[in-house]
Amino acid sequence: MSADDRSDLPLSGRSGFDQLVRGQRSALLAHVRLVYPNADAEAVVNDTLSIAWQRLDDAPIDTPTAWLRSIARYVVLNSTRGERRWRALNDRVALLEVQPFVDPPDTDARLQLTMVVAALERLGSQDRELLLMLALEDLSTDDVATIYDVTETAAKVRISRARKRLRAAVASADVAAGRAATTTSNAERRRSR
Amino acid sequence: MNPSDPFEILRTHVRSVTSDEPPVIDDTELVNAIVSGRYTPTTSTPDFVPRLRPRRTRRRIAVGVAVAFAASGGFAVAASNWGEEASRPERGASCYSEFSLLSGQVVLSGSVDPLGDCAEMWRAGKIVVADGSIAPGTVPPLVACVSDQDAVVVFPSIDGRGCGALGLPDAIPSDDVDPVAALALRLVDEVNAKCMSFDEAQQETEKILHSLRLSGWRIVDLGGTGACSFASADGDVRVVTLSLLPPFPPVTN
Repeated sequence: MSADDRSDLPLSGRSGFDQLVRGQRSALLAHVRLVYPNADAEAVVNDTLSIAWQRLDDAPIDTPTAWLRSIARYVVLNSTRGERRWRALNDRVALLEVQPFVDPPDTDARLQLTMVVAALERLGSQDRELLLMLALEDLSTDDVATIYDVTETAAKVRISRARKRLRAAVASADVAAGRAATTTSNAERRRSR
Repeated sequence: MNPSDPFEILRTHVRSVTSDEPPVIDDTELVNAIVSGRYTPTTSTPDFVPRLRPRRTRRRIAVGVAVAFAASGGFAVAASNWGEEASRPERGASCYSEFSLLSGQVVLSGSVDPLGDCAEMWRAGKIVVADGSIAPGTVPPLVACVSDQDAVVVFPSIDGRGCGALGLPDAIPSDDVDPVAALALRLVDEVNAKCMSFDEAQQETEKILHSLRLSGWRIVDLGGTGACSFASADGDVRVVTLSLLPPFPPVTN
């Protein structure tokens, strides 16, 4: 999936909106489903498009992808503010549920994937959100800047830090898993004596 | 762990598993509803959207319910004053006025009994169908479904049609139907919510697996530096992972 849809959309009037919906809705839905697993994805997307219709004249013709994601993000943040409390526990589980494991060819690959997903859960919500949206689509730094309403430099820093923290979290889990494996191996040796 | 970049592993995985399930409402129907003004946002309009001019119109509905009007032969959802939170209703359950995801809805925050609470909204006349097909104050047969990502949505049932007609699952406990889903829920309630040590969490997980008759599962220790075990289940490889995380912060209003 690519966010590289910079064709000049005629974003005016009903036909422009119709084209925007047909061109963007599926990708936006996938984005919301993945990045905000506890949001009602269809409702968020429909609301986002409804807002987009109200503000079609303001739409940046060259970056509708980032613009729609920035609106969706605010829709999610606004709508989940109240429910965040009582859904807090489920947030982390939901993340895994929307990312069911495929069948990597070998056990090592599965374990790697398990560790990466678990590491992702341990990151802060902003890092997780950013990494998931980057993992799903080829968003440019400028897109990220638009989505978060920050400068391009700030966006670069965010991306770099998030990826660094993910690597650190995986490395930390890797060390812990190594310790656990060593413990198990020692215990087996003791039993076999 | 091999030298592969975790982000690249994540990217490959995400792109291979992300759902491309089409939306319930097709594009044409949605565009028509939005353009004609029949579509009412189910979440509130954001107070701030970056890089945009001020909104042309601002919803001034000082109520905690969504109000929508159908263009033809429509309906109305009566408004009630729920105070200042009106423009940003919290979503606990949604009571729809018609058997359609595009109909008007009353959003209830924190409802633990969506069917009962929605019935009460109908009984109290907070939901009124303008065409008179349902007399004000009457409670129609209601059906509770689960929307995308587990929100409970309640509809008046037409001709006994159920959630399946809307492409939604029923909002009924699914323990008997899907033991892995039951496992995930029980891990949340019985392990993650209790801030257990690794050993306690492992024992509890084994008990849960046993009680659900799930065999051949492994429990994998992913380590971590926190005090509370966090368990998650992956049915595809039959693994429950346990990570040690910091306790959740106390709940505040």
